[in-house]
Amino acid sequence: MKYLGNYQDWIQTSWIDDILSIQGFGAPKEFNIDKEIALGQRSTMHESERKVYKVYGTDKIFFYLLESKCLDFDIQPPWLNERFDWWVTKMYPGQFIPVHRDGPKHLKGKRYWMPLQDWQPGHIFMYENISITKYIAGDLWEYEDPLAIHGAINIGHSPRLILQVSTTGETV
Amino acid sequence: MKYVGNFINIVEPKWIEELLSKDGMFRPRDGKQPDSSEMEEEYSIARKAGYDDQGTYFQMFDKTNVSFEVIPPCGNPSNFHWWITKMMPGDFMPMHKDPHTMYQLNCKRYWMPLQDWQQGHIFAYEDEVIVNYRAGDVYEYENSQALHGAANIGLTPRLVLQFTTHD
Repeated sequence: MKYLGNYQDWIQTSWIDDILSIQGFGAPKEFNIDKEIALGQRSTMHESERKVYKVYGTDKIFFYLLESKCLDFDIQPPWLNERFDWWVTKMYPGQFIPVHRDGPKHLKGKRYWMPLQDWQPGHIFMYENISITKYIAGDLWEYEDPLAIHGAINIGHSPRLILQVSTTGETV
Repeated sequence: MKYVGNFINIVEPKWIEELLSKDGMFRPRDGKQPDSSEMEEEYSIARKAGYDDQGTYFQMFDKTNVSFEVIPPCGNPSNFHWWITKMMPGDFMPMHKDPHTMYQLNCKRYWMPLQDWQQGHIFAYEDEVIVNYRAGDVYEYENSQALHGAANIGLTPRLVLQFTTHD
């Protein structure tokens, strides 16, 4: 992971309130992955996804995902001048994302990771064999390899909120 | 965590087979109820965060439910106890402090994975995550009262021997 700087001043307190007050989509259960694949509404799983879901199943909620369509705000990352997608992962204590590699659609762009809170014990993000700790809200990291294996878990005592941004490789 | 050395020679392959082939004691669901104010405090912190003390977050083995005995390879050999934690994918142990280490004189707390490190096998000690270890590596807690926790967000079961020695 490449550290790019801190953007704490850019984060609005109201975003945190909004994220904590809205549940979001329970992933993977509420994505109805198997049904969408069967209906042709979703492309088939790539290898990493398939391996993960074979072990963990698709019928439970492991974490919550929040996108602009379910939040009252939108973002314009100050470090970007490219088209991008963004989402927030919210993990209550005990929630997690198994280690996985992102799909091929992330190959063309860049992946960014920004905690919205200061680090707390038990808030764990693993990128290959590296764990990011002692960060402060607004610290920005870029995945050096968009296909790196990564995962996260919250074994702490408070919700864990991370902003994720992915560029498409197209300039605005 | 202080690396002590590798003691894979004490681990017999049949231990692993036995641990993988059966269930352990489900924790915290079937564990003992808090019997000290320190333990109650740990449970209270976990409950407030939303953890369920009647849930199953991992499995535990000790001399009462395995066919083998473990002799710790370091620390005081005449006063010790050991246990093994098994975490299936998705299992975890929230961050906590060990209440038992508060009462034991010259208590030393050790951590020994029974398998080589795999992606998603997590042991967190304060702000550190131990990675790239080999089966049989032994680490000693520099502070037996340190905050620690563990998780398995990988694709295979995770087995770790824990032992504590004291005077």
